[in-house]
Amino acid sequence: MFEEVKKILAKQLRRDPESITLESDIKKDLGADSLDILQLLMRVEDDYGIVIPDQALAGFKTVGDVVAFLDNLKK
Amino acid sequence: MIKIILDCYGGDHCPEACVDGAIEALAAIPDLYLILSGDETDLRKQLEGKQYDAARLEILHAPQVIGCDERPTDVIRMKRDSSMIKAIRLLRDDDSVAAMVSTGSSGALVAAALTRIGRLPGVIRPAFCPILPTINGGLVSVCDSGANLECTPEHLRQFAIMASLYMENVYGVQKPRVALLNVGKEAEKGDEMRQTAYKLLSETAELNFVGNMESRDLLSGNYDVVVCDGFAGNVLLKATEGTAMELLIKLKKDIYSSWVYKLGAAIMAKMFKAEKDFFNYQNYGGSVLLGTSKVVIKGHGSSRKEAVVKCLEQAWRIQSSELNAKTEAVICKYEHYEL
Repeated sequence: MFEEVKKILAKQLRRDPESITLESDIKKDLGADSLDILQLLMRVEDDYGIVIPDQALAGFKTVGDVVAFLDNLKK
Repeated sequence: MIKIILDCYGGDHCPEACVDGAIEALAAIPDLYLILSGDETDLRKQLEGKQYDAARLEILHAPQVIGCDERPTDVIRMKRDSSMIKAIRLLRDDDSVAAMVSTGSSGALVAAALTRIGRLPGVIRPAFCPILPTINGGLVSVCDSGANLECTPEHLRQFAIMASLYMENVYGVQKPRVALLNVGKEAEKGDEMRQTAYKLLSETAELNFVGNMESRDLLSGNYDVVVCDGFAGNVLLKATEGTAMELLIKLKKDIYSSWVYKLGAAIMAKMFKAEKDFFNYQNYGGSVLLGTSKVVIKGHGSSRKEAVVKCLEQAWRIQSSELNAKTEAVICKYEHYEL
């Protein structure tokens, strides 16, 4: 899942994929804003046919948070 | 070949207006390739017996329709099989598709475009930018006309840059005259946001900023770009459209009230027709969403065939002018500016 999230973020934010780690802060380190995060999650929702609850959206700080949430959903 | 996807549902005259408009646009623009998004069976039925270049037209099957009364934030996630969302997703995922046109729900289109297509690097908020005719035969754009109800001065500067480049590159206006919508012309007029925006616009080298303007001067021909927050822009646009429409209705009513007036009107019929065409929104294309990473155009909900053709031509012209690459180059100069 990390690789997939990394690929989406790298394309969306025009970043080198190698610069994205699980610890990367989505806003501070990757320069994303709230719209970028929504865009990332919408892409994940489309790709996996899921709906992420609104209350979960506010809890994503690092790339690892997103990956952990999606890993849990898959279980 | 420029590939454009057309959302064929959601507008008042859909899908007929979209299908007929698509056929006419294909005949008029030789390097246009169209993808019609919507219910395939219904669209095939609409295409039956009509002459068009089938090699330049395909259908993306999307059985659901987004209604104008549905909540945008809900439908963009729940109606994934709708003609609008499937079109947006294809625009996002297929690099060969350059633009999208829709006459459906404005709110859903903005929400879907922002969360799926994304923005050009450096753009904080994309903005709607419709075009209106001016009394001297020119055009004026209003940015933002409703995508962002609350704005900062920096948002307004970006709207000014994007709309200025749009007028220059797509409509051939040299050094577009940019004005800030305000309650008076003097520099100190308006609230703090507008006073700061005035200063910011004055300091931006890429802009030909000519100062504040009042809403009554919108169609005067003195301005090429009017910059404002989406709330004020939407009010300005609808008040202008409504006034023009009511004026024509009143004129018609008065003419029919007397045979002398009718006679006069018959003599002036050609002039009246020209005035009616002048105010007809169907002749000016749609409202482009400036600042998204791909071209998105919102046609009027009441668009008929002619308006759909104009929107498709407009999308084709924007893509041909490489507007997005030019916008990105200028916007990035100011990317990290914060007030």
